[in-house]
Amino acid sequence: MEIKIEHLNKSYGKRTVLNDICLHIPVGMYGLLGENGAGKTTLMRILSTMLEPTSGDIKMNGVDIKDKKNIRKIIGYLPQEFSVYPNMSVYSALDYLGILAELPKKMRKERIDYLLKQVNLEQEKNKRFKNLSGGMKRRFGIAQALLNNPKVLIIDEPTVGLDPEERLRFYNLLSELAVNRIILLSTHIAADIEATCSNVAVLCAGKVVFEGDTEALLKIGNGKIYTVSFPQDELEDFKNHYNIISIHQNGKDISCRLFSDEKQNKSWSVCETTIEDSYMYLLSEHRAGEGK
Amino acid sequence: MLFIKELKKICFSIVYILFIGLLLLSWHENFYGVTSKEIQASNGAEASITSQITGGSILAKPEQGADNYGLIKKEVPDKIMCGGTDMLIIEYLNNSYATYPFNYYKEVILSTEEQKEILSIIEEITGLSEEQIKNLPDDYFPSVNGNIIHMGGDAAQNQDGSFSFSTENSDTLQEEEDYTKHFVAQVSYERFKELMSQAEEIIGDGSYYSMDMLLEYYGQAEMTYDEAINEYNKTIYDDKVSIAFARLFCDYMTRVLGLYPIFIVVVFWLKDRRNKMNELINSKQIETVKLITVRTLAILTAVILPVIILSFESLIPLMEYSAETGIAIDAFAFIKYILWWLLPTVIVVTGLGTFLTILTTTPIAILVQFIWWFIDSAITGLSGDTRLYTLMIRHNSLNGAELIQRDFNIIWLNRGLMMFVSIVLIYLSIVIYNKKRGGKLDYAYFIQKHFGIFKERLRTRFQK
Repeated sequence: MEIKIEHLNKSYGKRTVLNDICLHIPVGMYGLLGENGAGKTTLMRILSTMLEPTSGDIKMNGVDIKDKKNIRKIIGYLPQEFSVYPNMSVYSALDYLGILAELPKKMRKERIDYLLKQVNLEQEKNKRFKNLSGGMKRRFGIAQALLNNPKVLIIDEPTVGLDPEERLRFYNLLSELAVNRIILLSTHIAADIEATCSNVAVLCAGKVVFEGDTEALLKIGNGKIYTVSFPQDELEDFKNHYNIISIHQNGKDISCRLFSDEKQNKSWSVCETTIEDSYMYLLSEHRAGEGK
Repeated sequence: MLFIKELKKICFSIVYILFIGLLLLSWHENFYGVTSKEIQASNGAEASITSQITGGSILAKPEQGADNYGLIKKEVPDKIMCGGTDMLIIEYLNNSYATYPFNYYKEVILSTEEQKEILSIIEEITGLSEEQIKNLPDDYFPSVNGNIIHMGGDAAQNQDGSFSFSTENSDTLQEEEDYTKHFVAQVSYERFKELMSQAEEIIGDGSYYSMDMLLEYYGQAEMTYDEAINEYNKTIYDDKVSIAFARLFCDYMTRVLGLYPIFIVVVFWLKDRRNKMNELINSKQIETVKLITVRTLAILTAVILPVIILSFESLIPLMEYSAETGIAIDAFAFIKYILWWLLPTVIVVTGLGTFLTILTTTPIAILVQFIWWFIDSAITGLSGDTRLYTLMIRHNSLNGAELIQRDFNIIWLNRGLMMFVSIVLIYLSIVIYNKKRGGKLDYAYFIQKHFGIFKERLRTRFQK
């Protein structure tokens, strides 16, 4: 089971949104990391048959993406923004979507009961959708995407708007589900990838700037991430000369995390790299290469 | 199963409840109780308003030697000239002319020059001078003259406050009488028609002076016994009683069904997008053809089912009447006419609404359907006026089976055409939905890019 994306392009008029994307996505959790507007949602929508690519080939488990009917049989899709008829109960909504997924009545009932348990929504099954919390709605989204027991689960920005506890619960749920199926997770939050994915691709302005495992992504930033402290009045000058990742107030001084190819001051100390550091470094390198 | 789910979705929506309210209101105002009253009237009680104007219950067998047998549509030149001239003089003296362009009232006030032209028309018809026209005797025209009632003269108030009028002389030709005291046309019928056409030109479309309107209001004459028994036999044997009521029922229902289902259709199809559910639905396995077909059938069922239920209010008393009198009725008349006359109208409204809403993802279908409904209402006569493109088949009478027999072929052609157009629209809806679902017809980006600014401006203006 794998997804093969070869030379995929998508344009809207003269604007290119995806530019020569090539990815091989194996079984397990696969992260698609990129800033807002990088083309993640466009790629997700193409993979879920909601959009037609301008050119390129995609095969899922050997099935061409143009064969939409058969692709829809093997995918489950959770869009970034979704909702359900507000007055429908959780169970009724799942039942309705199960009918649209063409599940036989008996199987549908078994599957809904199983999924409600798995996403911990059993107690809420008679609640109206509009009365669910943000986290519950996301879990409902996962349940509906899993109705047909898909081989490929496509999840677009699932943790937006979730509080830390809900986010953690969501990571655990995804990790449980990633057995014998591909879970493709798009996000602009590097911590999501760090917590869940073994493989990752980084998108920047419609191009893949990195593809590999998370270890390899971490290595990119190794030895290039520093922390440095300086008086507050030097902050503006610092911002103009260095690539700052994060800033913390530390008494009268500023403690700053930055990346640089070379150590430019003895006061700088190398620190442990995170996925976010490497991601920021990659984006910066790419923009520099593009002349932005 | 999907059908039941979709039907439930429709039936529990606010727009559907409003539709049912309007349907009930229209039915109650126009048809409720008509059948029972007609049946009671056949036993001597008061008839329904529908047959009061034609002289009594259609179910009452005429008896030879009765005082009158009601009215029948007939082109009697003297009556038409008398009524038309009466109305023209009333409107001329007030300089206030009623017109009904597109079936809605509009008052027309003429200039001095135009008034002079109307005066010359009246003078030619009556042979009277301006002075005489302004000072006509009270009984110059009959007390009841088509849709005109002259108070005074023969009018007398009853104890219950109602008025009665002597109409016995209304049929009498008055050629030998003094034309200055009673109306006697001084022109031939042909010339009268030319003069009315001139008046229509001066006043404007939809006035009382088109031949259609003159026939509608003054083209009635009292029936003879033979004519009355012929009408009765048509109701009992040709229409098998229930068909007459089914046609009238459908006539009232079609005005509702020619417009209001569009709201259900548009709201239903926009609901997925408004609730951000379209991507959840579109990523599922269901075939587009199945989704649209099932949803269309659910809408049709939701619209037609209450109409069928309402028809029982008429059918049940008719069945009881049949059992009591031994007169055979057609128990399937209502269902046949609902399927034959109403269903194609509902299907074409549904088809158009589905097509335009899926194509544009906007409520534009409501505007388009309203225009079609409005024009169709305006140009279609109340009975016997079916054309190839008529949206709503009208037959606003319990009588007139001969009009249906006359128009039988055109009605079938019309209904067939409506069905064909509906099928084409549903097919196109499936094609477009399928393309949009697969991202092949992705013009949302184009619309947002070029028209998004207008949407934002509109929203800002409303928010202010």
